[in-house]
Order: sequence, then structure tokens, then C-alpha cells
Amino acid sequence: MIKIRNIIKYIIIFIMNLLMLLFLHSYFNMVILILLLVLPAVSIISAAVAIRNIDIAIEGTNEKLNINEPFLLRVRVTNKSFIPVLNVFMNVDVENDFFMSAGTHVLNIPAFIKGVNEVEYRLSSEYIGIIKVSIPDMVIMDWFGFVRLKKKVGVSKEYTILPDTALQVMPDNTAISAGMTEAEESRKKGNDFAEVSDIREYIPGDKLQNIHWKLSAKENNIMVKERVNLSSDELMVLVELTNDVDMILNDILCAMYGMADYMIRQNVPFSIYWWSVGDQDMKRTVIDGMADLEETMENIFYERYYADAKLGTTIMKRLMNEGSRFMVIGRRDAGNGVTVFTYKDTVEGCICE
Amino acid sequence: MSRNGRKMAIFKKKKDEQQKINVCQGITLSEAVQMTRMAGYQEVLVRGILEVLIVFGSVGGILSCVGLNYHMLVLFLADAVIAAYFSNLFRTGKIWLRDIGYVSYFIVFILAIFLLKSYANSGFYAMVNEFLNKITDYFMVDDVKVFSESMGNRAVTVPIAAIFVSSIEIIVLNIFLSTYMSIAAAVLMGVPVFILPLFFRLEPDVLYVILLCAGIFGVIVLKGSRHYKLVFDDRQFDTIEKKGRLKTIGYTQSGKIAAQITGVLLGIILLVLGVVNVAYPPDNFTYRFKNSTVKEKIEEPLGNLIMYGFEALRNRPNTGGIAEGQLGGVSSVITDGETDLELIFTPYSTDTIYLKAFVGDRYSVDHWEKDEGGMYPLPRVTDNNTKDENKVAEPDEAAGEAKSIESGRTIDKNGTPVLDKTDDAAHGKMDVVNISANPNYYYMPYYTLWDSDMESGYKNKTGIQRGQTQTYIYYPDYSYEADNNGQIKESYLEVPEENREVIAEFCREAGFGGSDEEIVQQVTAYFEENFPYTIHPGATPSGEDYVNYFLTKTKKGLCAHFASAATLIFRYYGIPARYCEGYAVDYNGVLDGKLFNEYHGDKVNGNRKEYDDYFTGENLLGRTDVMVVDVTDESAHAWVEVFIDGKWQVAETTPPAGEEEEQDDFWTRFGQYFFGDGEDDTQNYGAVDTSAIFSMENVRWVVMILVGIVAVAVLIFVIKLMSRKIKRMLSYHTDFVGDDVIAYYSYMCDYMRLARVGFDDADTHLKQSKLMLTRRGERVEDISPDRMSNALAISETVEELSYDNGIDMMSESLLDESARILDILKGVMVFIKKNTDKKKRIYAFFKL
Repeated sequence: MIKIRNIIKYIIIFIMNLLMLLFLHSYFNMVILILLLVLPAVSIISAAVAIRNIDIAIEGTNEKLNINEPFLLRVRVTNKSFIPVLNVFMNVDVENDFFMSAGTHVLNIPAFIKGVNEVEYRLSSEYIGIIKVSIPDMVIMDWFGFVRLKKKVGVSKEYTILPDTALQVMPDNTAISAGMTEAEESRKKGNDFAEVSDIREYIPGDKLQNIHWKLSAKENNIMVKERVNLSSDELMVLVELTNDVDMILNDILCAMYGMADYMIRQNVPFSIYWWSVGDQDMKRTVIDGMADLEETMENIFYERYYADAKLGTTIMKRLMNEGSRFMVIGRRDAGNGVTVFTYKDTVEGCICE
Repeated sequence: MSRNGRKMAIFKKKKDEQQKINVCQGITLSEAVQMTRMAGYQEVLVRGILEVLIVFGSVGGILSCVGLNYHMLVLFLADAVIAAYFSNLFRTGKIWLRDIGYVSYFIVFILAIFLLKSYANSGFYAMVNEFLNKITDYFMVDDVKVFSESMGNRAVTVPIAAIFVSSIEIIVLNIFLSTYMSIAAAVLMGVPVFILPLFFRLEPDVLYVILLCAGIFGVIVLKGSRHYKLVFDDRQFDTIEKKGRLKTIGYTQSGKIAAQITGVLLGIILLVLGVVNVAYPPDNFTYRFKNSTVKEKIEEPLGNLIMYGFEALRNRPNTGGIAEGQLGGVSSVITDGETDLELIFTPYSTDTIYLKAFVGDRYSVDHWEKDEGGMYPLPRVTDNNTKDENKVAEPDEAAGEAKSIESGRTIDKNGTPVLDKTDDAAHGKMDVVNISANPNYYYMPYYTLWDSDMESGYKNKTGIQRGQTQTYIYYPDYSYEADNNGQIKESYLEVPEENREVIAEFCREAGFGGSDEEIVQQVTAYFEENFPYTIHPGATPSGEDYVNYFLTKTKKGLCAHFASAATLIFRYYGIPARYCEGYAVDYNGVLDGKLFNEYHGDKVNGNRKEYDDYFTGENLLGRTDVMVVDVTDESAHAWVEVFIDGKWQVAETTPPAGEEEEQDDFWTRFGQYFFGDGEDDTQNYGAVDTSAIFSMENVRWVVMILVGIVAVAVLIFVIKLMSRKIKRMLSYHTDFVGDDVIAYYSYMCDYMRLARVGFDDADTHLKQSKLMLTRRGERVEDISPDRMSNALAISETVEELSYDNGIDMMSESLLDESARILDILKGVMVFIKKNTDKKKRIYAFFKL
């Protein structure tokens, strides 16, 4: 529309000058007529030359970012030619693939002669995930706004948004105690984290901490607890990658992150499990510290969420032995087990059996 | 603008609300976008540069057209300073600062005009004079009257005048460039001024064309880029949202890129025009085409308009300047400079040649009655040998009886020489061709033989028809006329009663006295000393006596004033006198004529005219060639004939022109042309034959073009108005009722802003709605409960719709409510219009 309007205005001026020329037969109008004919051609050729000499780059931080933390997006337009361009249009795609959220806007800036023009804008994300900012192509308009020339650019930049480390998840220790197995309790106290499968007589070499002192006293023989390590000596935390219109998955992952942070600080080794819809597999990552946690989060960001609030739990139960316990972090109203903590009234962590 | 963009405009979201814009779900643009930029003043300075290019290009170009390239660097620097000053007034966006800036400049401007008036006037006159000079060269005509330059140093006066003109242009252009980057303003300020010079083949220097084109093309490019709006905060970008999502981030403006593009355009234009100028220089530019028909039609009237003023338009077709005794309707002398008569004769004297047409004997208030009896003074011709054949001498026969012979010449009883064909009295032949003079009269030199056919032609107003030639035999040295067997007609001594007292008082104060000849001389001298000649005497007010008003009030006038007054004054002293109109050709006019044999040689196939064919007898100038003299209506004249020593003689009582125009400076003339001189020309012109004097036949092309321009302007205005209204109407007839409500509410807000003072202060929908539902003169607090409930409903719905994230998110209930509110809004609009002042309604109608 703008293009047509510009052309119409130009044609009006051209016709007016032409009429004046026909009326007056003046040199003045003749040279203006020449300019009116030459300049659009120069303008279009200049645009064609300029677009070859314009490069676009996106710059930004590589640091992990938190929710709602502003991050800088810098678009740099470098013009290596002597031709100024008033309008460089760039389609800027911003997407959070994990939440299937995407938006495209047009960024319109000039390109200076033999110079660099930088545009900085600060974005912030309410949701965790990997924010990908890309500029697939650009369009430049000639000086008179008659034509638009397009060029592929294909530059992008990713930002990882993690939940705020200061996220406060306060688990109910009583509930955890009530819900945790003896092994879990002992593990929590610094003992091995395993199920007791049998009681037998002491064999030299057995760990002292496995001696069942009460029974030994009763039997008058040293008895030890034989353990079967079903959960690889760790707390299993299943995170349900379920989502709804309220973006509850964001809260689930934030809750999981907060809980994980809590457990790391409490020195409780644990593994995080999630159901990968893409791979149709239960994924597991052992968390030994914040680095493992962040890596796990990034892995999760490449998964696809699902609608069933208990899909992960169901599959986990199927995979686990009878009576095995694990922590599920998911929708509060899914009713998975004994609540360990709640988050924002919509998410809970619970011990599932 | 997008829906939400419009929303921002309507509801003035708070700053913090505006800063949060959703890029996509969950991702927000949190702060203003920043870009590499120049300092703020440079952005307004670019506008200043464009203004200098356009204004200096046009003013300098015009001066170069007429060959007045005086100290253009001074003009350029002055333009640059003025443009920098005014463009910077728009830098901050503070209206009060702008106002102070304008007022300050206005004071300086007035002071400058006051102090430099003489320089500015002289500068303007220099421009006008040079332009007129070029025009007269173009038409190959004599120089027209020029304005007197009181300050002779054009190197000073021309730049001063040009700076005054430039500053006004810059002020106007700056407003349009700073607010709209208006291409129309740039073109109108720069190009139309060249039309007149170009019309007459006066081309500007290429340097100015380059500057002008760079300026105009710079404006075109910036306008086309849409990045020209001045922003007064630090906002570098405009963001446009659509359905709650960021759609576009576009930079507002950049002084750096604007400066770069202007520089590049200047370079390219310089290159292109440099090449054109070398390859096809202006001097070699030939006008390959014939002049357009339109140009041919308007060339002459336009030339006349420029050379002789607006009167030239009103005076066409030419009437020969003969007012036929009608007086008082002349505010300014009307001339067109065109040839009325062509005289073919042999010059015989350096005296002015009077060609008499109209004779008036009785005066009354505002006219002279045509003298049906007296008519023309004749040479008395007797031929004693062939008396019967000399019929033309018939009127003299009665007097002839008293003739006697003295010194070999025939004289009558009063001693007046009487022509006798047996004498070798000098006499000549004059061919008078009526080109565009009044065809009701003959135009006869003193003293012409005339016959009964001519007498009846005079009485019946059938003189020389246009295109026809009348040949006269005239005897320059002889005259005789006697009425009523030697008695002068009473009417030649008649002074109307209403004039007698005024004339008596005038004559008493003037102290006239002596012989008839002395009185004639005294009156002539008195007028010359005390009553300046002017071509702008002002019309005589209706009901006032023409002569009395002249002698007592205006005390300045043109030939008709002097001739009329003198006629009555002479009569007051008992000197027979009569009022005459015709043409007076002075010797310079004769010298400006052409030699017949050179001028008409081709046309008459070698039919040459020789001296002997046109003059016989003693000639003070010797044997001269036969001349062709063009007589224009500038030679139209009125004079007095007095009967002294038994013969009618010409008494020239009109002072020479040249010392008049005491107020005829540029500003006075400017004011007179555009604001009138306070006198009603129309009324007074109505006293004469307007169909003859004011016929627009020959200027119809000019009028048609003017009418055409006005018609096109009106048409464009109507089309723009209609398109605006249609666009507005379509905005609230969409598929989504929510959008309709928003659009209609927007329309109502716009209307209210124009119709009601203080509406802009309403910063909430509720306040706006209440104001809409307030009657004229009613306080907001006093509106009735039902109107209050409507206001609440409107504001709530609009509020909800305004901040909704998109129409697709609207609930069914909101849609229903929106439909209801839309109906209410339409009713409220009727209510608003009813309670709006009619003038404001009309204003709003054209504005929205």
C-alpha cells in the first residue's frame, strides 16, 4: 500500500512537470523531467547494490537466564557500501519451542553509509525454555519506496531461561518422612539408599551399618540386613511434562527446579525421570549438582509436552517393581500420592507408590 | 494503524503500560528499543538543510532568471541561519517555546522592515523592474513604467529583499516539513514561482535547479520512507501491535540517515544535471515544439497583466480609452498597452498630435453631454474659382462672406487665416486605421476637412469601424469655426450652478486674472504646481460632483479631472471652452514609429508611399519618410478647447506625469491590490458601459484556467473528504462488533476533541463518556441518572474491549454487550451533534 502510494505521488509530480514542460517548453522542466526519470532507476540500482553489501548479525548473552530477567538482543546491521538505505526490514522470529510459543515482528532500521547500525532491545520471558531469536531474511526498500528487495539472512541466537534459583519450594519434611522408605530415611541420614530384601547372618566384610542391631540382640546372633538396590541408590523424581492453557508445565518445572535445588543443598542424591514423547522412552538423569540440574533442564526443553496429567506416573509405575516409591512432581489435582510440597496451588510434589 | 495501536492513541495508556509489549506468548519487550543515532539537534537540522535547499534554490533561481545574482552567498547564509533557527523551534516539542520563538522573530522581522524599508522596497523594485525589463524584451515592446529604486545599490538592496521573502518561505515550509514532511508544500514553495519567468523563457541558473531539486527530492524520499516525524521524547522507535502482539518495531527518524540521503541525492543530482548541462547546455536548448494553444491564448493578456497591472485584464477588449464623457468611475487608469490606432502620415511638427474624438459641451455632476453641434474645428477652405465643387467648405460659406485678403492670404473678418485652395498652405494626409479603438468615433488631427457623412457618423456614433481605415486631409496651421453665424453657443460658457460656488472659491484662492490667454496659462501652471497627476486618483464617491470633489477633496487626478475642471474654470471667466477626448501622440511617440516602406513593404508588394503622397507645403521637419505610428490606449487623453482669438485652440491643462505617486511604494501598491484602496470601484464603474469596458472576452483563457484550478482544488478536497468519511465508516462496519465499537468510539472521541473544549483532559473512558452525554452548558455532575448509567455501560464495555488481547478471545456475553453498546453509541453521537455549536459541527464535518 505504501509502495503504491509512493508511486502514485511520484507519478502525479511527473505528470505535473510534464504538463509544465509541454506548456512552457522550458529547460528547467526538461532537466527536472530527466531527474524524475533517472533518479528512480538510480534508486532501484542502488538498492540492488546495497543489499549485497548489508550483513546482519544477532548478538546476546550466553549466560543462563532466569525467568523475567531482561536479556539484551542486539541486532547489528553492517553496510559495507556507500549507499544509504532508509529502510531495512527484518523479520525477527522469537520462539520458545518448548511451549510452542512463537511470534514474528518486523524490525525496521536504516543502514548507514559504510557503517554499523546497532539496535538493542531487552526482552524478558515469563516461561522457562530456550528462546530462539532468528532473522531468516531481510527486505530493503529503495529510496523512493518503489521496490522491495529480499535477501536471505539466516542468523539466530538462543537464550536459555531457567527458573529463578531463588525459587522457594518448601517441602513438608514430615510428609517426606512419612512417605519415604527406611532406606530413603537412612540415605537421608547418610546411609545407603536401598530396599531391605532379606535378613541373614553376618558374614565378615559386611558393612557395620547393615547390622540389624535389634534383631541381633533378640536372636543372639549378629544379623545383617541384605539390601536390593532397586533405585540405583537414589531418590527418583519423576517430572510430569504435562501442560494446559495456563501453562502449568512452567510451574511444574519451576517446582521441580526448586525441589531439586533444595535436595542438592540438602545433599540428597537423586535422579530426575521424565517421559519423552518424542523418543517414547523414560529418560533419567542423575543429579549430582547444579550443573547436572541445568543440563537436565536444557534436555527437557527439547521435549514435547503432553496433555495427560498422569502419563509419566502411569508409565513409571509400570516400569517400577511393586511397592517401589518415587516422587512425582505434577498437577496438584492429579492425586498421585502423599504430598511433599505444593507450588502456586496448582503443582505438587508427592510420593507415589 | 493496528487495533491496539489505535487503542493507544485513543486511551492514552500510561507510560508503564506502553512499555510492556508481548513479542509472543510469555516473551515481553520490556524496555524502549535503542539504536545508534545522532544527537537530537541534528535531526531537526536536516529539515533546516532541506528548507535552505528549497528556498534558496527557488529565490536564488528566480533572481538568476531576471539576472540579479547579487551576493547570493549572503542570501544563502541568511537562509541557513533562519532555517536553523526555525527548525530548532521544533526540536523540543514545547509549544510555548515555539510561540516565543515565532513572536521573537516576528518582532525582529517588523523591526527589520521598519529599519530597512527603503532597502527592501528598492530590492523588490529592482526585482520587478528587471523582470518587467525582461518581459518587455520578450514582447519587443517599449519599456513600461518602472518603479523608482530609492536606494541604488542593488548589491545591498536585492539580498535584503530576497532575505525577507526567503524568511517567510522558510517559516511556512518549516511548519509543513517538521510536521508532515509535506511534498506538496515543498513543491509549491519551490516550483510555481518559476512558472512566470519560464513562461517568458527566463531560465534559472543550473546551480539553483540542482539545489532546489535536491531539496524536493530529499523531501520525497524522506516522506516515502515514512521516517520523518519529529519525536520530542527520547523515543527512537514506534512499536505497532496487532491483537496484543508486537507487529513492527520501526525507527521514528534518524538525522544521520536523513543527512546521508540528502547528501547522496545532492551528489547524484549534481552529477546528472552536470552531465545534462554539458551535453545539452541551456543555450543550445531549442524549443522543439510549437507553443501550446493555451499558452498562445494567455500570452498576451498575461504579458499585459504583468506589464500594465491588473487593470489590463479589466480593460479588455480595448475601448480606445474613450470614456465618452463619463466621469468619476475611474479609480485607476486602465491601460492594456495594445495598439488602438495606427497612423500613417508624414510628421510635420514636434508638437503633440491631438486626435479628437469626443466633444462635450454641457457638464453635469459626473458626465459631459456630447456636443452634437460644435463637433470639430475645421480649416476654413475657400476656393473662389471652383466654389460649387468644394462642398466640404459649406459650413464656412456664411462666414466666408466676410473674408478679405491680407498679405496674400485669405483671412476672415476676425483676422483668422482662411485656407484657400489657391494658397500653397501646408496640408497633409493621414490614414487612421482603427485597430481596437472605439468604433463610434472619428479620430481626426487638427484641423481636418470633414464632410457631412462624417458629421452624421459622429452624431450617430458610427465612426471608423475596427479594421477600417479613414483618410483625412488636415491643415495643421489653420482653423476656423463659428457657430450661429459667428456667435458662440451658450453651452460653451455654461457653468452648472452647483459648481459655480466651488469654482469661484477656487479661482479666488488661486488668484487667476488677466487676459484669456493669461488665464489659460495661469490655470495650467496652477494645476502643475498644486494638483499632481496620478493614474490612481480614486473613484469619485457616488453622489459627489466630479469637478467639485477634484478641486476640493482629492486635489489630484488624471487628464479627465484637469480637463473638466479647466473647462468650467475657463467658462467661469467667460472663455468659451469645451471638453474633448481622443488621443494625444507626442513627438517621442512619433519617433517610436516605423518607416512605412520598411514596415509594410512586404505586405503591399512594393506599393511604396512617398512623402509627396502625404504632405504638401512647408514642413518644419523637412521631407520625412511616411511613418507608421502605433497609438496605444496609454495615449488616450482628455483636453480642453478654448475659443480665443476667434478660433478653437487646444489648451493642455493636464500636468505632466512623473512627479506623482507619492505613496506608490511596494507596500502601498501591495495593500491596494490585495486589500483595496477603500473605494468602491465596482459601483462607479457601473456608471459606464460595463459591457464594453469590462468585457472578459480576451481573458477568458486566464479565467478558465483560474476557474479550472479552483475546480480541481475543490474536487480534490471533496474526494479527500469523501474518502476519509468512507474509510471512517468502513472502520465501524467490520465483521467484529468489538472492533466496530472501538472504531466508533474513536470517531466520537475525535469529534468531541473538535467540538468540546477540555475533552482532551478526560483521561478515563468514564470521564469521556460523561462528557459525551453532557448537554451544552450543563455540568458533568448534573447529568441525569439514565445518561449516567449509559456512560457507565459505555465506559465499561469500551474498557473491556480496549484491553482485550484480541477479538478472538472475546466472550459471547461481551459480544452481545458490544452490539448493544454500539447502538447506544450511535444514539449518543446524535446527542453530541445536537449539543454542539453549528460552527463547530461544520468544522468537524470537514475535519473528520
